[in-house]
Amino acid sequence: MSILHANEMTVSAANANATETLTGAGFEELKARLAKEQRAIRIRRFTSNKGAVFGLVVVLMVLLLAILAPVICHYDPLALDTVNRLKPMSLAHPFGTDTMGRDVFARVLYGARISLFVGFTVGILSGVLGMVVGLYASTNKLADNILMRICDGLKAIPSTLLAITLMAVLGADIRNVIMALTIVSVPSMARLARGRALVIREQTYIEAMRCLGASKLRIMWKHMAPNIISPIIVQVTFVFASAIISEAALSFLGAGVPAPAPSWGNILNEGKSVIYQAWWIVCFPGAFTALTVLGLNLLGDGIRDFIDPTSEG
Amino acid sequence: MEAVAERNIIDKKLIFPDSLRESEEGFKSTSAEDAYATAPQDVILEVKDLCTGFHTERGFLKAIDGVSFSVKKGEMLGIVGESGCGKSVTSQSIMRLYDERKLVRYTGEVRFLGQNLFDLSEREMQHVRGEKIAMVFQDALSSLNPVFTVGHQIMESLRIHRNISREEAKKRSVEMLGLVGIPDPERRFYQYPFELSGGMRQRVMIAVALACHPRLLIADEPTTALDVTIQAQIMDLIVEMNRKFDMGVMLITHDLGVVAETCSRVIVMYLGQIVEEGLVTDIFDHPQHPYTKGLMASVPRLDSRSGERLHQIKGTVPLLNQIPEGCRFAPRCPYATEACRRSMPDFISTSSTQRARCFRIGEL
Amino acid sequence: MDTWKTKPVVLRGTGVKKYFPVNTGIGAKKYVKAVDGVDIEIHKGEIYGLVGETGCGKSTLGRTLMLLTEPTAGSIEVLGKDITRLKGKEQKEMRRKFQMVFQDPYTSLDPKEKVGDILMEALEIHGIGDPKTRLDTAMEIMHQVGLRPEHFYRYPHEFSGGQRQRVGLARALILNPEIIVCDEPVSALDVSIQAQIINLLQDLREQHDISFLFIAHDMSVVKYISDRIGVMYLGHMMEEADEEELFKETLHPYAKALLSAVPEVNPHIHKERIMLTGELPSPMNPPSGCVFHTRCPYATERCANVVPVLREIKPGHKVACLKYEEGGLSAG
Repeated sequence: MSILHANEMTVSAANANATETLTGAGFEELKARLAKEQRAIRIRRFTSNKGAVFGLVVVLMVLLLAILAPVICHYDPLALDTVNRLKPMSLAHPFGTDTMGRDVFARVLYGARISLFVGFTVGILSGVLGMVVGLYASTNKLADNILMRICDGLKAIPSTLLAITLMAVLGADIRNVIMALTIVSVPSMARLARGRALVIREQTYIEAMRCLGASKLRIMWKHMAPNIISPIIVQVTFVFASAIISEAALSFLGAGVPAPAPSWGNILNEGKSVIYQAWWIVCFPGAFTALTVLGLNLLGDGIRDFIDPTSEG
Repeated sequence: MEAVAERNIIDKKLIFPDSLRESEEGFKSTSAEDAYATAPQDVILEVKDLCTGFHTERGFLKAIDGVSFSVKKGEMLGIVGESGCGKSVTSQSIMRLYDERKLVRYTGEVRFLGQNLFDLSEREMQHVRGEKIAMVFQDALSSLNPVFTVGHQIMESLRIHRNISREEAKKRSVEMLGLVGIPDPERRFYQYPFELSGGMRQRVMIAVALACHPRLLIADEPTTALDVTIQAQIMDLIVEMNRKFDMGVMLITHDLGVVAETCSRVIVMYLGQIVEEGLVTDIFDHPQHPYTKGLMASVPRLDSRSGERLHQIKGTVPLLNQIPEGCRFAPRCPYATEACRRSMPDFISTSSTQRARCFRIGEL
Repeated sequence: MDTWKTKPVVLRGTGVKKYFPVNTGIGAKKYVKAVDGVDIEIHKGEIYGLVGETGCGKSTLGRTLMLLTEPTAGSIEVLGKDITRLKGKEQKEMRRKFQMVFQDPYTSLDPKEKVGDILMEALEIHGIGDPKTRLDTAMEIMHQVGLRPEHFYRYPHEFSGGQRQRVGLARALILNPEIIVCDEPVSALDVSIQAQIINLLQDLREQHDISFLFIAHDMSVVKYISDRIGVMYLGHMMEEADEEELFKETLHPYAKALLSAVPEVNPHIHKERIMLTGELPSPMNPPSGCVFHTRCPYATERCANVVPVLREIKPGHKVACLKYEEGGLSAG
């Protein structure tokens, strides 16, 4: 593999050799052309990963369904219809109805909104927080000791238990779900960021920046942050996925998003008591959860190839 | 104090231990050896028109294009060239070390003791690797497995290829360690690679490689990571082993000094092709190809006068997907003509031992 | 050629020491004595070559002189100012005067930054010029080191090793320093590319009258480029002399052994090698007396007890060996 990599690295350099010297005006054009070329390589690398493409399609589909929920489905996910309780799948109700006659299809679609929102927010928040914590921990010994011991402490408690405890203290609310899940996932993110930052800190280019007289802040945010971000972004997609599962688990246990709101976990929770009479109530939200999580995980692998121009495919 | 001990051990072990000589004979009488019986006596390895190509993101690229050479018994052949010229790909192709299922395509022939290695199955190839052709790499630390003791790794090589008992393997391993000049081999046998210095690790690598008395040793930049004083020791060891075991050695290096001191014949490679071939005195005294000349002139020498400017070859080695038409060196060659840019020159022999791939040999 | 001799000293290190603490678990704290009391002077426009084997402390000395690690003891003067005492803003101001080029052209450039930004950032840090003039300066420097304008928007990984080293050199040059420390700048490059970079360094010295501290393990490269050469072993300076003098009249047994190990690019020369026995002692536990005595073919009992000082034997030729202490050159 190594020789292939070496070839590729220098291919564009030689392209640069081939072009003759340019003057002022040609510059912007050149810049655009190079950016295009570099992007093309990345896209090719991404699309050659079949799993990643599949993941992207799945995630986009779920996202689209969630956004277009009011257009696709005319039922109100909260509207009770006691006459049509526990109806199996039909044209009117493609996923059937639940114990209170609510349309499961509508609930799954609107549930996707909540689940995706929770997952995405948790992913982004823990990514940002983890990076900040990790970066500071890697550059300051005292901060390192304090922050990492807190992280170790948090990691020592099983995350679902911790989330349940936090929810019990904070109260069932979608904001609190996000907060609890973020607290749970920041430690591993911070560990990852710190580990990566410790490697980057020892790189010669960081030393070179110190030689130029660059300040600590500049080195940290302008040179270390961009170089640790790729594994963080990949990790964010995984946290995104696991937050969806955790949210479903919390809601399933009744410690998540409060009851009438349709999150996937809530639907599962409500369906579990009638699982023998109406399997569709748990089956569809379960399938959606599994599919979305699978899609996100596959996508995460693909993103790694996409954002890191130097990685070997 | 250890220094003195090391000296003594080297001196003692230089006399070929009896047990090793026996095993050497034992090896020769094995049935596998008979298969190669038809080969001419002195040529061990003959490479004919070898091409190695890779399927990459940018299409199919030929890293080696029509390389032919041979290695004789007891000969030290140097292969020199800059990075990207295909030296290492050549050696790895001989060993068939690339994953053949997807990325690589070989054509041509690699005849080892008369047998074309490309006709062998992967299983048969495993018998050739390590047993008949051994390799020493540049980076001894990553070539040795960090979780096993040094002794274990030599024993492993012996036990894979020779049907011998543990005790016997251990005895021979300790002998091997002594033979490559490692002081106190009984103790070193139980040490892990990280406990040894760079020079010692390279000696262990050589011991692993030579454990089965291969007919051919491929040394791929064996001293590049080492200091000059250690380099001198390791090169002396390789030369000595070459004489003792009467095996062929292919020394791949970018260091012309090392080649001048140790090799008898030299191949100069550029961009996947051999551009010049000859005895070491031919190549160093009267290089014919402009690339060889340029290479010789750009090496700083100890006898240079101060203030002199180093000769430099303009430009860089082109990439495999941008191989120029005609002579591959033409774009960087100060003597290139229209003809050079149009068609590929063939080898022209300038003496019975030297040949070069250049149109303008007579004129320059 | 020797005009630098009359010129003022740009960089002066006096008694520079760098010890790294080692965790040994229990017991007394131990130190790796990477650099153990080195004096060095570099004149304006001079190229000073520093050679030695792995672990001799040459790179640590270079990094200490660049204040990349705090020296344990000693003073480092740049243009007569002790830079170890400077703090914050003053130190940043002085940093413009001494710059560094690193060994590995593949890790010394930020992979996420374009070449142009790498160069302009150096100016930005020191608040030199506005974005427009910075771009012009960067272009000018790129031209000087032999890079083309279209390389401006390229990422480092798209370059070959030689081109990357040119970028590294451009980054050091752009602040217009007095001295550049080059830590093995050509050891990762091919011979033909190495020749290009060496010639470039010599051109730059002539154009800008910059001093270089050229650290390398390759004797022939150092001989080629340097005006003066220092040989280090285990944290100590063993010998220091003008380039020609050092190679003609090598005094120190270690320097002799080092020289004899360099392979000649000539199959007709068969050098008499002085093989060094044994291994480099651990810098955590250096030998008593002369640090080289454990491997020195001429070592006497005295060498194990008395630490030799680097002293001038002939004008401009310093050596740290007891052999030359009293009797002068006759002992050779």
